[in-house]
Amino acid sequence: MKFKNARTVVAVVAFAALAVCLIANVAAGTWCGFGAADIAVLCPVGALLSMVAAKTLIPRAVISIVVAIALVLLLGRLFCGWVCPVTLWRRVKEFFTPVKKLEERKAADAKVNQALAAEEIAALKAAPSGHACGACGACGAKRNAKFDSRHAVLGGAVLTTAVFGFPVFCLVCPVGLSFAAVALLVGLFGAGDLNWSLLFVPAMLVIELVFLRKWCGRFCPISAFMSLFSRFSRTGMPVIDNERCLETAKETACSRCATACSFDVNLRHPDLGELPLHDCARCGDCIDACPTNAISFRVVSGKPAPFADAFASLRGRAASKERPASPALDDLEPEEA
Amino acid sequence: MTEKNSLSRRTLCIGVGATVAMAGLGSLRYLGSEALVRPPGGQDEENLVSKCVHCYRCIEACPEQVIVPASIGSGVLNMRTPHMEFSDCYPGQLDDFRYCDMCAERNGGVPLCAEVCPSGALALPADYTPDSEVLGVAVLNTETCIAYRSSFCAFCHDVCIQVRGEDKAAIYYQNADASDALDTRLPVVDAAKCNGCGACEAVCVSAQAGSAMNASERAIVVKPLDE
Repeated sequence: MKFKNARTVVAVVAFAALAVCLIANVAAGTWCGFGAADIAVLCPVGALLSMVAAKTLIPRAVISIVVAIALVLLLGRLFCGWVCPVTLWRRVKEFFTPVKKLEERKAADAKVNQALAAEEIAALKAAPSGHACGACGACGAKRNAKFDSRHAVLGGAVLTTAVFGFPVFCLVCPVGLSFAAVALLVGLFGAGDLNWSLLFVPAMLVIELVFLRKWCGRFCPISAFMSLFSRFSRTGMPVIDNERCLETAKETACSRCATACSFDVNLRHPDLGELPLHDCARCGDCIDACPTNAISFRVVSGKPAPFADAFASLRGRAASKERPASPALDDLEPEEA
Repeated sequence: MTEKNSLSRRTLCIGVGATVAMAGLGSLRYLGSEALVRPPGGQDEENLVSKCVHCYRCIEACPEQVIVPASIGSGVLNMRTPHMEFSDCYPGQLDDFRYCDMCAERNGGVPLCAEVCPSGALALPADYTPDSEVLGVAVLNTETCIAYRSSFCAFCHDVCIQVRGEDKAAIYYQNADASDALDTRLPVVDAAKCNGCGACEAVCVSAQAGSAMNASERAIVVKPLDE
């Protein structure tokens, strides 16, 4: 099964289980506040906002934030890829987009990504070994930043919550609204409850997920919160085997992994993705897309290497194979002999 | 370099746009909001609206299913926060109605809603006892109450004694001693004794019995204390 289908199944099962709990009155909660009996964690953004609104420290909220940070350090934005209901809404949206339009969009993305890759490969080929990429300037500029529009939205959420004294963002959070929609349906069919929320909830979901392009990567403050800490995560990431990757082994501008990524990350050229590498949601789409099966999840992935280093390491090795009498090897030989 | 500029411009536009949108939504709180009857531990309105993250655990935990999420129609502050709804019961069922008994039997008098609340929005006072918590007060509308309009009706009176016991029952008959005739007996709420449990509202038969054609709610309804 492809990763994309697998994670859709996981998200559907998780959402359905919580929806059934809501209908059957089992206090499992929702992703906003989740748990069993008196053990529960809050959504870290909800926890943060409710503390800002109440202007007090709430012990359970602090614990929830710590737990969330620990999970992010281990698994990055895994929640976004595998659990978040928005990932399901995105599949629904995709389902209703004409195939031709999807293909066109994909082809355009592929073109951009390949052009960027070709530019970087050409520059690196021309460059002398041990060249400092930052100082060169031959390639395209870095396309992502440490902080982006999502972090601005998170800041705005904290600010408005402090001013108005209640968690404003929580009212429009698509994760919460997805569960609100279930509760509304329960009320509508259970008690015949007709109210304005029946308009508000779907309208907000449509605005956020249809009209605002790229909610997850450009707006979502939960994603912003996670990306603040996922940058320190060194585990569970997809890693490229440079010997099999077309870009490093064959010097071909392939970049299919970047085009396939559902979260606008460029695994091969981390600086050239719309989002930096640490926004990887462990979704696995790059693994499915790789034509040479060069990508796999690693339990410990270590610090991600820039493309220039990966490129140089393989080139260095290729060069040394071609010319065994290179000075560097000569120096080593006496010890080995 | 143009890439970099467009990135920061987008950051600025989205950040400012989203903040303005959220500020607009937040400022709707000053349009006012309907006072709602809150679950146990939710009587401090300021505490509840600031801490509630709408996780619905209290709603799920309520064994009587009398907690529901509020609609945006009750005000933006209230939207999706929990409140008590006693009018969903089929009226006149003295052996099958739902009300808040502070989980007396199911959890030894500690309301499950407050127990599962992860954010502290529902927080029982330190000196909480099942008898001390008051959710609201039953208000009887003499315009729509059957007993006041036409004939004898004893549902709210009887159910109050049934759930609260003779000593603590809050609904008594006005003319009980004056005459033996049943149809002169008029139910009255003793606000000092009522804890807003909702049993009377759950069984009230008025609106459905057609005592008032345009009744929008039952003749006896639990209202928030400060209303």
